Amino acid sequence: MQIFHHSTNTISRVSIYGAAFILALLGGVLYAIELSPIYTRVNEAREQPVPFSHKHHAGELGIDCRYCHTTVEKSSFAGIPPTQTCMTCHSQIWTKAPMLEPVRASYRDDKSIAWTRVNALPDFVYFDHSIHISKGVGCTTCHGQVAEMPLTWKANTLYMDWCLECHRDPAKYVRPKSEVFDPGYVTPANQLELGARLVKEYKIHSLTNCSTCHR
Amino acid sequence: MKSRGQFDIRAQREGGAPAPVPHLRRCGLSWPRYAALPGWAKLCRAYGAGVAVDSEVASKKKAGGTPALQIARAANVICLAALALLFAGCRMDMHQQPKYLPYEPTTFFDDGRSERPVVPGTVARGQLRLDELLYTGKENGVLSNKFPFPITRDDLERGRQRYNIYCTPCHDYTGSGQGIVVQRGFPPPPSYHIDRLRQAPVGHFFDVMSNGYGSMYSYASRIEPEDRWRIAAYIRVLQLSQHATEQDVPPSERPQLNQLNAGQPQ
Ligand code: HEC
Ligand code: HEC
Ligand code: HEC
Ligand code: HEC
Ligand code: HEC
Ligand code: HEC
Repeated sequence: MQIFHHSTNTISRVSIYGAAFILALLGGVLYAIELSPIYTRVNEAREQPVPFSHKHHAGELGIDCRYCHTTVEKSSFAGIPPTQTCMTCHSQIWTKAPMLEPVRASYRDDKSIAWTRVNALPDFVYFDHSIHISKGVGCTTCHGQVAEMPLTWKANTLYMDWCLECHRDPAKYVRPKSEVFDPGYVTPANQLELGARLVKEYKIHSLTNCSTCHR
Repeated sequence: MKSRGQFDIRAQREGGAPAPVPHLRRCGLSWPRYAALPGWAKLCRAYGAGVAVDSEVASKKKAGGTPALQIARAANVICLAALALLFAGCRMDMHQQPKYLPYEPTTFFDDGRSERPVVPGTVARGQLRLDELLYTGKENGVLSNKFPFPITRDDLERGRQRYNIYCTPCHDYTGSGQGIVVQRGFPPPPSYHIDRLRQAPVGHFFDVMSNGYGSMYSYASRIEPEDRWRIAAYIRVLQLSQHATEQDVPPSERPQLNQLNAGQPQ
């Protein structure tokens, strides 16, 4: 008894090779998507409950990062300013501006402002701001030209290969500690020379052991 | 011990003033990772269902089957295994672990905050603060003109750095009260160089930073007590700098001063 017609032999053969081919293609497409800004959201300005502008505050007004991100030097977490920090200035200026209403409401009603996270690592990665700051890695090296962002965006993928690119050879990126917070810092022409000297001076190691970041 | 984000939360609470901490929401395409890719989950499901029906039909019709069918079945098993592996990628257990990162919102508490406010009156370890001078700038309830620890050059450098971060937006780099935010309409603070503030005890500066003053908010949540003292010391330096005479400059440095003066249009 013949259940299937002869032609099914060809179909099944084609579908086996076809499946392998489609799977490979799918993998390739997924990989491409994973590296593309559609998925990584690099350079995509994010909507926020208040249109807070680093361009305005950190760029034009020249307010130091630490005025708002107070814990960046001493803890793993950079710190997002509480409403009180905004109110140190906005209790007196732009007090009528509608775009600042969420800030005033938050202060009035003791309700948190819910900012949208721009940079986020998966929970299985350990990251610490303080070590990078104290070894001379500048904010802009990882976060890009923050002082030119009207709305904050992510400047790098934050993928493992990106971390490792620097961890393998930090000399390419480190700057003098006094320049870490300078949003307008330009990498000098003699970076490799300077970097090599700073790596010695700050006793920087090349940390590529898995347990550095996965602990 | 330093654990993620504990430090800042306590520090921000310390100020006393109502200070709603923000929330940081994770959202968007990156989370969860694969599920957001259009049609991906649907595709997985559809293929899975197809395989199930196929094998059901096959088992009813004939045990064993033709070699072609066997190969097809084996291929199905392999594809299924591959899919299972991919599905494992869909799982987010390790990406989003059941723990709260700083400022992560929660649905468990009514106010949505995962880090809980400290019960009023709680004294955390290391926060007893019995040293009246160090923590209030007062001695026996009166503002003091003494520093709680000797001020070294390093302390002054640190004071300058902290002053430049937290005070210059309004008080500007020399302390005259014409900072950038004042130029944009903030009510101008008094200059540090007026007599009243030159006579004021250092404890007064510590007190202003800790508790605020008029329209100026408290900076207690952002600046540690020791650093507040260093800033107060640096303000003294600024005051001195605006009232210095040539006699204050060591003789060895005076020629340099004259050079500087010569270079400046008077
Ligand atoms: C006036 C306060 C203020 C100053 C000054 C400031 N920031 Fe911010 N920053 C914020 C606020 C509020 C947010 C959250 C909203 C957002 O993402 O835009 C933020 C967000 C960020 C983020 C993204 C956080 C995330 O969600 O991943 C980075 C990176 C950042 N700031 C870096 C800097 C750097 C670098 C500087 C100094 C050049 C700086 N900030 C100065 C208030 C400030
Ligand atoms: C050190 C003072 C200061 C702090 C702190 C501050 N701002 Fe501002 N902000 C200003 C000034 C000054 C302006 C108006 C600038 C101008 O007049 O051009 C402004 C303008 C704004 C505007 C509207 C103008 C624009 O185009 O961006 C928004 C929105 C705003 N701030 C949000 C915030 C938020 C949110 C915070 C808290 C994270 C904050 N600010 C903290 C000084 C401050
Ligand atoms: C070595 C790279 C690197 C440097 C240098 C760096 N950051 Fe970050 N930053 C990150 C990463 C990675 C994250 C995401 C952290 C996470 O998800 O746990 C982040 C997150 C943040 C956030 C969001 C809150 C948080 O801590 O998760 C802020 C705000 C921020 N950075 C500000 C700064 C400022 C200000 C500086 C400079 C003083 C700075 N960063 C320097 C890599 C860096
Ligand atoms: C631009 C350079 C640079 C980048 C990018 C960078 N790092 Fe680092 N990282 C450093 C340097 C420098 C050190 C200090 C090495 C030392 O201690 O000698 C360091 C140290 C660390 C440490 C050790 C902290 C400790 O307490 O032991 C961790 C964890 C870490 N980095 C995680 C990361 C992660 C995760 C990323 C990517 C999201 C990243 N880093 C990206 C330069 C970088
Ligand atoms: C400098 C920090 C750093 C070091 C060192 C490091 N990783 Fe990672 N790793 C990361 C980061 C960041 C990610 C998350 C990337 C992302 O967002 O997908 C990651 C992700 C991963 C993932 C999960 C990939 C995924 O997408 O789910 C694996 C597996 C991994 N790392 C293994 C390792 C192994 C094995 C080593 C040692 C050879 C190592 N890592 C060393 C930072 C590091
Ligand atoms: C957002 C603007 C702003 C910032 C930033 C600021 N102040 Fe003030 N400050 C003021 C204003 C406004 C006054 C005048 C208050 C009044 O008289 O109502 C003032 C007053 C003062 C006075 C004088 C009090 C008196 O007796 O008249 C001192 C001292 C002072 N500030 C110190 C500081 C120090 C130290 C810092 C940095 C930690 C600082 N301020 C940061 C706005 C600011």
